[in-house]
Amino acid sequence: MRRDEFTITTLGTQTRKNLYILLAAFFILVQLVWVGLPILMTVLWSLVHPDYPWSYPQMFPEKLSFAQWRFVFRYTNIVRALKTSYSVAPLSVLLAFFLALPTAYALGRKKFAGKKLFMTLVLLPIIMPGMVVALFLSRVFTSFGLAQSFFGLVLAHTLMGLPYMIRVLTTSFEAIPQDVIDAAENLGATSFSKIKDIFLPMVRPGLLAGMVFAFTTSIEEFNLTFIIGTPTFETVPTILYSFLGYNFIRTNASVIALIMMVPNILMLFAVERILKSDYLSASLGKL
Amino acid sequence: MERQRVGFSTYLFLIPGVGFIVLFIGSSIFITITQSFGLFSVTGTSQFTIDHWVALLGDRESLDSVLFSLKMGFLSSAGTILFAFPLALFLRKGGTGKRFLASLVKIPLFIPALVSAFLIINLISYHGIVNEVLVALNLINRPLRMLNDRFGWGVVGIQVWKNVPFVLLILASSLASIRDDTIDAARNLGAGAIQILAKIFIPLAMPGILVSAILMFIKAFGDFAITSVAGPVYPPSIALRMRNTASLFQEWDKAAVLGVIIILTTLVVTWLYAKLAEFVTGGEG
Amino acid sequence: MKRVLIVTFVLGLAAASLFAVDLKTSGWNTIVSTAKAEGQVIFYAWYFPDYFKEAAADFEKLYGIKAVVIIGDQTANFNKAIAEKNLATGTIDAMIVGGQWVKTTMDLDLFFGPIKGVLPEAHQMAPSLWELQEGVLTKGYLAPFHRNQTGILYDPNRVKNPPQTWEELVKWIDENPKEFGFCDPSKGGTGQSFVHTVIAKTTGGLERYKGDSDVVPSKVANWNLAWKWFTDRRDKLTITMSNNDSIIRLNGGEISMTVGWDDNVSDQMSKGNLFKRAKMYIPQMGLAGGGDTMGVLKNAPNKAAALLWIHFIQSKEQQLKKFQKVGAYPARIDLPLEGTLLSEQDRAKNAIAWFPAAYKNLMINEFVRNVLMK
Repeated sequence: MRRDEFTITTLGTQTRKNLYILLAAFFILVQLVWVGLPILMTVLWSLVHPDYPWSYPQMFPEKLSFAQWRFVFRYTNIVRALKTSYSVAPLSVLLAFFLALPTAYALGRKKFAGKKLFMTLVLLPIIMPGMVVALFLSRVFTSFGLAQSFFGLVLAHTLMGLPYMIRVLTTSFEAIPQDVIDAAENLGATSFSKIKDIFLPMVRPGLLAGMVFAFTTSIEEFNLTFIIGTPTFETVPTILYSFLGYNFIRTNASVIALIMMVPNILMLFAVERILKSDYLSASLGKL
Repeated sequence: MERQRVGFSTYLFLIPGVGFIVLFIGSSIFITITQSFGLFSVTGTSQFTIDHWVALLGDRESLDSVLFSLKMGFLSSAGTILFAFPLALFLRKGGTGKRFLASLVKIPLFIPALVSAFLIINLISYHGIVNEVLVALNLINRPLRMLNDRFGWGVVGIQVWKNVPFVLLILASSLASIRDDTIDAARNLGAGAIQILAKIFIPLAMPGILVSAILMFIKAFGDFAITSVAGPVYPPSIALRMRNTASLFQEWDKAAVLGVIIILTTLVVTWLYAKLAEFVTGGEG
Repeated sequence: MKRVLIVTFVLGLAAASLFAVDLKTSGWNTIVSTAKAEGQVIFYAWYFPDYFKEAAADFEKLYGIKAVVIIGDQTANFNKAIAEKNLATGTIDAMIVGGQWVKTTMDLDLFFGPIKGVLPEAHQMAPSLWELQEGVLTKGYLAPFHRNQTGILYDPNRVKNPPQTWEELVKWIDENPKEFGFCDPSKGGTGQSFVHTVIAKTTGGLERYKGDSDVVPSKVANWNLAWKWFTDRRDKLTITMSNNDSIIRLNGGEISMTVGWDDNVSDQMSKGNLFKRAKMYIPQMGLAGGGDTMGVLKNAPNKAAALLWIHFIQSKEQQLKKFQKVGAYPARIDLPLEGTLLSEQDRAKNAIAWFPAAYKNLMINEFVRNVLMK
């Protein structure tokens, strides 16, 4: 990087532009290998034919088939799990949003004693080690009668996504220039129109970022779900874990890993398309 | 900031978010702490004791785990920043292909840690593609044994792979605040690339770097998923040891002690970084 | 509407009768009818999703009782059961019990029983497994449903004369550094089995441990010889992360010989995770075997259905089906089989029993302290 920058400064604009493009191509290539290769290998593993194991010294599987995919869809509760995962996630995102909104507003726009403390408290679900939260929290959930209920599952997932939602929204609220609000007030804006015309549009990128984080957190959550959710509710990670933990089966794990990853990646590209600015970084900066 | 009298109402605003978190996490932290002293135990007994603390603090295995996790925490945060910083510099301004690149880079962010570990061990296995390529290029004679290496490089590698985009996002936002005219001015004054990097980019990006370092440290220090798949046979990371102590050996009180140790270490390191940040940015961070 | 009412009525009646009926003395017919009134059974396992899913369908067809099979992680399953221990009614009816969990769960008194006298075909199952599992006295609480055995698994392309005796194995390992792999005993039974055999061979046999319920310190005083054997060969042995990891590394060519469970190996083979040429045997020096069992939880919501489910899995037809589908060796003693990975001869001559659980626990902990930590 350093050397590139050095060369760039001493060359003409046109060459510099070309160099940038070359560099971009280089980075893209590196990233394609860096990210693409592991995923490609997983795709191959998910397509291994049960009668033709992929073993050393074969560089590629001898024969491909969808048998592993059929196996997963036929013998695991993946369909049910997909339904649960993708209905819990949006609900918990929604709940996290409503819980986060007033808190983030206060943290972002008000001055009060102990603010730093509250900002740190908000991060607790991320800082606390997952399995222990799950084990001790499950006792709390059980005593509240929230175990084995859909609502309890949504609450648990909300809890895990809430830190991102609050911190990201807080940053968005902070970023609203005070003069814009003052101007609106001078022009006689009501509280309602202040919210509708100033706050909401200005926090929208942050909101989307928070949603993306809360959503993926929910899709990935394993520990709490397993203890308070199963057997009534299974999610994709609870099934994935059964093939990755003690009973490690590479071919089946590959299938479920792909089932879990691909929608996330598609969502990423979709959101990137919708939002022109780099929403994630804008709101993560002060996390 | 709106300059107005802070009333009780402000605190009411905090209840939905902070209250929700404190209610659930606070109660589980409370149980963790009390249980580390033998109170409200899972087994039903409740008797104050410091035995579990004494037993664990004098135990070399636990110490090994703490040291291992500290090592993973520091190396992972350093490694991730080292990889993410050049990328962040490059992506600072738009250009051909950069939007696509930016999306591409973010993919691992959306892949769960456990799956990331699984993806990477497929590559670095004995006859995995990395070894095969190295052998084919005559760089090594025999494949390297990279799976579950004793030092933990595999864990660091996977942490870097998974978290570069996360850190990149944080760095990108702090680099975005650097104005182009500052750089142009420096250039006009004859500053070279290295000087610009050392005198402008790095200092101005420092708050972002420190925040990334804290968050990465917390992630890597408390990790159990990646270590359980790619970590060394011994020692387990502190979180993994805690999980095993609780779930495999059913020694909940001891697990609670380990839990408290993790929380305390995290707090101390966060505090140290915060102090460092104040020092670096002159008290504004 | 009318049907709903009737169903509710019947269910209510069943729930009421549940408290009235003592399943241990009520007789099998009452259990079957109670099970039908309960209407479903929730079963936790951590392997063979394909077999159990089909068994659940067969069960439903036969009895009209819905069987919900949850395949979870082994540790997570037991943690869940333990977390729910103090609830009046839990969410698990029956579960597979195996490995070091036998001791943990028996100590915590998690299961309903003894059920040996309740199940009509109990006497057809391996009697030794009704009494002792993983060196723990199970007192008829845990019902055997398959037997498994550890053996040496190898790649015949790379290993021409697989070792039989202890001396041959040591020589082979010394001549082929890093080619022999076994899993960390704290992470899988195959590793425990190997360390168990090493202890037997380096410290003077297993006879003296028989019948002990606690560790007798004088009997383990010379275990340092076993640990020395391992530390001397630190650079010649490959330690893997799980039973399946050993198989996967064999398949990937990193190692050419390892220790495996027979059922696990044939399952992985049938799923394309291990080459078909792999061979397996029990060496003359002896390797341990055992079996997994099923237990009914004390606070199971559908106890009768759980008993019926276990009875169903123990039936001749299902034991055979399980063997054909996933290669798991039946727990029944009245089923002669062909086409097993391990020969009957090997099983009869070379299979050995575990030493008592207290020693096994000590072995796992000491291995960490004296081998891994060094």
